[in-house]
Amino acid sequence: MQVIAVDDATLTGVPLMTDGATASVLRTPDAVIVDDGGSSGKLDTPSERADQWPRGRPHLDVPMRPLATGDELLINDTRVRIAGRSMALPRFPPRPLLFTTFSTAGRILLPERRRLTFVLVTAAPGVDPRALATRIETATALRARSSVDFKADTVRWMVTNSEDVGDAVTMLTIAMLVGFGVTGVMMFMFTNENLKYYAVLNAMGATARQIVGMVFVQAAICALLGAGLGLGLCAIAGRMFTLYNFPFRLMWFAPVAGGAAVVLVSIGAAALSMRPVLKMQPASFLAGR
Amino acid sequence: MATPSNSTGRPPQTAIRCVGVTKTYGEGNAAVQALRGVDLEIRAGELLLLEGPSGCGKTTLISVLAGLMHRDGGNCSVLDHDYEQMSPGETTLFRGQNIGFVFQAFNLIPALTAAENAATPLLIRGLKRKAAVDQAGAVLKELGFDDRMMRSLPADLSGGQQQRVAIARAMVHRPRLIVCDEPTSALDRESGHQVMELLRRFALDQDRVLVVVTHDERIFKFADRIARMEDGRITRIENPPARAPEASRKPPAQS
Ligand SMILES: Nc1ncnc2c1ncn2[C@@H]1O[C@H](COP(=O)(O)OP(=O)(O)OP(=O)(O)O)[C@@H](O)[C@H]1O
Ligand SMILES: [Mg+2]
Repeated sequence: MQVIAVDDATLTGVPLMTDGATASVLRTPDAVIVDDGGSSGKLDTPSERADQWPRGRPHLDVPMRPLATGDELLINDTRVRIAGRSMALPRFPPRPLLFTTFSTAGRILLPERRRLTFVLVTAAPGVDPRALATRIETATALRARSSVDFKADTVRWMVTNSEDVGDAVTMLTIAMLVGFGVTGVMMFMFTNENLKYYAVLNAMGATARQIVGMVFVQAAICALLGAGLGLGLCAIAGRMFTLYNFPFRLMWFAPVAGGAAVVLVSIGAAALSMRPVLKMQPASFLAGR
Repeated sequence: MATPSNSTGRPPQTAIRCVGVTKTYGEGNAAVQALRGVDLEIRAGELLLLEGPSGCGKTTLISVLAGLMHRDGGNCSVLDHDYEQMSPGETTLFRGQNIGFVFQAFNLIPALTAAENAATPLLIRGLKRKAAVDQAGAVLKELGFDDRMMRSLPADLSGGQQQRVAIARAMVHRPRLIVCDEPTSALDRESGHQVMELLRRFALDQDRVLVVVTHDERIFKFADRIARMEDGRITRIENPPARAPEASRKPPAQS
């Protein structure tokens, strides 16, 4: 479990809360906010009051529910009270997360040499966060980051240090290559099979441009069908995921990037199959050879 | 000579004139001289049969006449045009406007119906689909097709019917020159006769020319003249064996 303690005076850093509640619920004694993002399913309590500590027996298999306002938790022999629920984005990897004030945290957590991990600062209106961060760095010799830079640092760290990103990139690359190979070979075979008919059309007066157009229209139809099927399946899968409460988000750039990849692959495949079409000799098909 | 131009009293015009046309495939040791100086004159309104042993250069010659292939030497004027003076694009357009093809292996497009196949030259020209298919349907009707057959795919038609679609396709845009490479070799005697009769009846008039390559002696009688080719040259031009000049232009019994 992770505890994030916010400044007692400003309460800066508490995410948006459910039911329109505000961070000021932390001003009551021993109050904590439980965050849904990483806690649901991990930090639950028995549904039946009778099963709950301390009256009931030890409970492992009883029906559970998420923690709610009014529930109590025992943390390191200190009893805290859930004063509300916040809605940060699910974290990766997910871990139960509580928010409380710095003074409450000082009481419920075990003594450590360094208790302050980071300080969250809200810039006054009109102050550029990045300039402020630079000022803090020069004044304190401690690292300071605006939230935009911090996000970018985090993403960069994940890209360089996490294998997941590499795995995903490898997978996508393989998918692209296989897609290109399969569609390319199929387009090539299909066009070659129909070379005779392109030659017949050319003999009857179809210009090179018309024939190239035909091959590209064919590629475009394949691409449209493929992209439609792919996006459709993706949407269905996403819908299923969310129905069963798995986190899933389709960001705007995923279909766009997918579409761009499909266009690239199809243009490549069409261009590959274009060569024999442009080099064909209509005369050699005349006698039916 | 029993050309239709005689009956109108107009002097027959020369539609195609070739002098010393040569064509060689390949280079060096592998070179094959397919045409060794072809001299040929074809009048408008004429059906010329081209026959000769296999490999003597018949297909090569009609490919040159139809603008599908460059000649190496000699002169050749087809409907007052010389392909060597034209760009490839101009030649392609000229083919689309003025030349019809009947191929030995039908070469119909399998995914299109009979009527759509017959309409392809019109579609290539940019005619609207419906107009083109209607026009092709009218031609097919003259060739004895009913509505059901017009909507059939080539695979569902007999060889004779497929070749009739090919003939409709060759003449739907009223080209002035139609070249046919062995149009009857895949057909039985009866269908072969029908095909030749249809070609004569519908594709030939005083402004048009038909050049038909064949091995098939059974259709010699449909020709106005027969050119014999040997080893890349035209060695003899003769009249067909005892053809009653107007006999083949009577409508076939069935229609
Ligand atoms: N694309 C080619 N490359 C090389 N040689 C060729 C090619 N096409 C034809 N030839 C050769 O040129 C000669 C004439 O060929 P062509 O096809 O004109 O003969 P043909 O009279 O039509 O024969 P057939 O009656 O068998 O159809 C033949 O010797 C043939 O082998
Ligand atoms: Mg031939």
